[in-house]
Amino acid sequence: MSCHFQASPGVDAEMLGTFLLAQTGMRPEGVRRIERWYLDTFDHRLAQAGWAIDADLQSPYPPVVHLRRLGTEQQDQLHGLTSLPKLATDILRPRLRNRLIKMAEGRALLPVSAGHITVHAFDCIDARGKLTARFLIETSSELPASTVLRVQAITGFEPVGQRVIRAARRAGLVKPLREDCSLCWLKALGRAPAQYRPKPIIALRAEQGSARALAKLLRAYTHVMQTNEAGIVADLDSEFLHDYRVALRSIRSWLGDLKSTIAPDLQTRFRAELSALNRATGALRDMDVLGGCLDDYLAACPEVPPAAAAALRQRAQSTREAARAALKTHLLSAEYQAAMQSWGEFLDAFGRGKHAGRRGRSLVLNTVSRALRQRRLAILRFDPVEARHDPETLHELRKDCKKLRYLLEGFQPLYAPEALQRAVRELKTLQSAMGDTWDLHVHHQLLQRLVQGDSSKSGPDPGALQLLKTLGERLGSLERKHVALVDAAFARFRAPRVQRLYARLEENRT
Amino acid sequence: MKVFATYNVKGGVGKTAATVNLAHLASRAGYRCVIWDLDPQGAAGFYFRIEPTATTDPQAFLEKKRGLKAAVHGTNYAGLDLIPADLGHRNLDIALSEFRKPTTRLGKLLSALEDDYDLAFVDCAPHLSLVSENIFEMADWLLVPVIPTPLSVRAYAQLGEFSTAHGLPRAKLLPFFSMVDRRRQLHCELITQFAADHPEVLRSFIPYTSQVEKMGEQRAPVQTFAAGSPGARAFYALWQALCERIGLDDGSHLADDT
Repeated sequence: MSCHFQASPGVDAEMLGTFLLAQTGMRPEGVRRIERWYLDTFDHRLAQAGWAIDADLQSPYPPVVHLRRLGTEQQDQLHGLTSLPKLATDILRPRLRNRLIKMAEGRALLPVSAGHITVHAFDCIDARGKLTARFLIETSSELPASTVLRVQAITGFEPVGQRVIRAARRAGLVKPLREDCSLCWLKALGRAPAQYRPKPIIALRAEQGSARALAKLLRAYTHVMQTNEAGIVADLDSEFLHDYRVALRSIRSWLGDLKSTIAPDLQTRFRAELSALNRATGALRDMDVLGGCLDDYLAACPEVPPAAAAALRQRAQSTREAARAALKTHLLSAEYQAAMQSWGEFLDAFGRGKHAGRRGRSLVLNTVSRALRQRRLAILRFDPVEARHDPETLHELRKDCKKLRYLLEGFQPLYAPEALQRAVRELKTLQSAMGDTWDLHVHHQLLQRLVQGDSSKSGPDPGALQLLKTLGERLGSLERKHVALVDAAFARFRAPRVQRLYARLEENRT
Repeated sequence: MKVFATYNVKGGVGKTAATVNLAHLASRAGYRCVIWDLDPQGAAGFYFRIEPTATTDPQAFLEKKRGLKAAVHGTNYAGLDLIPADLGHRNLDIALSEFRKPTTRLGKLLSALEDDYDLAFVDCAPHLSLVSENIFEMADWLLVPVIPTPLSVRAYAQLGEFSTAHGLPRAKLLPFFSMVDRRRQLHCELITQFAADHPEVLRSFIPYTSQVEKMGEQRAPVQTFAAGSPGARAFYALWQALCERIGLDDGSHLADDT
């Protein structure tokens, strides 16, 4: 049975209250005026997973924050908070923290809407003095359904609440809300969930011209970059930068793989500009990824002196801050704004058919299939033995795999979904093995720089040197383990079965 | 989910009062708690104005893993639920003995609530039996109220011997003094002696007070109707001592009215 009800037209909070008080065992529990915030991630992951976070603020008390299943009153209080949680990791209780971490996946919890609400509470008490149901009449001028009745059933005593609601419905006082009250509020603000996708799927047709299809894709991914800019500048969470960089790399990759679709001079110019932007964002991303692993690395080395570990954490934090400040300055600079404006103007013109290259009018399916084949063959040309011993070669291989995946994912509407998903899955396995290995390599270098940066000011600290040695050994052994995984993943990718799958995609025989 | 069982071979030592008050304090500290009333007397349910459920066949009860979820009742306090007693539980021993692994059955039942609660408090009946072995298996800690009298101290010793004989870890035992009357010389002497012999004892005790007895009249945890009384303060001190011992956040940084 629904828990959220809307007052019928002409019925106000007072009429509902009078009705409730006439029910057996009902007693008023007072009136509260609160400010209610709904928290969700930037891309509404909680709502998509069927959950909501309500935060009730009533000065001078700390916020009362509930995690609630949408459309129900099954809730858990996120206790112990003196302010609104910013990240799932701010939640003290492990059970709730883990649940939220799984749903938010590193995304910050942001106030997606707020409003002032007057809550009239009523408790239904039975003859033994047992609370059997709680009713809340909430009124707000900001809500589309201005008077809402919430029924908080007490486990084991659900029929009591149902009986009262049946009577209220028979009297024509309320009707069920079709959606959770938090979603109604979001909709009223024009912020319906699921409007954002870090990898948008653009409707493309096989018989479309390559230039027009590419223009659509570039515009959509540029929009993803722009959407994430504010989050990077405000440093809300590290996923804004991640999504920004994925969109940026995808754009660069398509400009390279489909280069004959665009006029050569513009292609060269924009690739160079976007490459510079990629470098500008790289330092912060590296520190974000290191920050996520540093505690695990240090925990795996209990022999490291605590003072050295604390100094390293501090150094990592300050390096990250410096990288963030530099990126923020860059994103707010006139130079960046001008570059993005110029890119936007190019996209507008490109979409209208200008600046097309020699293959601009070719069918997009043919152009992309050709690019897919070239990229796949480039991957197969890598020598697995060389890639195993040389991290830079491994990195080049990894970049080629990423480019192949961007082609598959960006132009996915052109291919049969099942075959495409299988192809992406095979690629993901290889990418994941290589990504872990490369991260360890980069982290080793970053940690060396951090420790040496510390030593350059005050001479080599024995604790720091020991830390570097221990971490180096640890990361080295992990890297060796991961290289073995890369071997296996690469062998799997080269298997005739997988290659046949790709060949069928390229020839569009799926 | 952490599981606390309030257990003693001896009856009338304040097991149920401790369960109810500690669970209530834990829920106020922000933990989502459930009390499982395994004592067929149903005293924990009585304190929360929840009647025992109709007698169920213990065999059927033990076979349904999800059955425990359906038996949960909400109390008058946010974040605190209760699984009421069942008169059928008096034959739980016989039913348990039918299972291939009879000592882990109750733990398996309780694990169905793993995702819903942070802490579970099990109020046990006073006996040494197959149910006791289940309780030893499923509980992370056994809270053992001990009245400072020779018989009660002897009962604790018996519990220690039982746990050793069955290869159960003694580190799970967390004794604390209950129903203490400090005007009595015997109580004072036994507390000193017991604390010297058993360093695991929680350094906080529950006095014998009328306010704790009035829980039966008020049918509520003592903090709700006599918050400033020595009994209520003693349970709060016990909760803090327990949290300190096992490394739990006691929620003391939260204002009362949040």
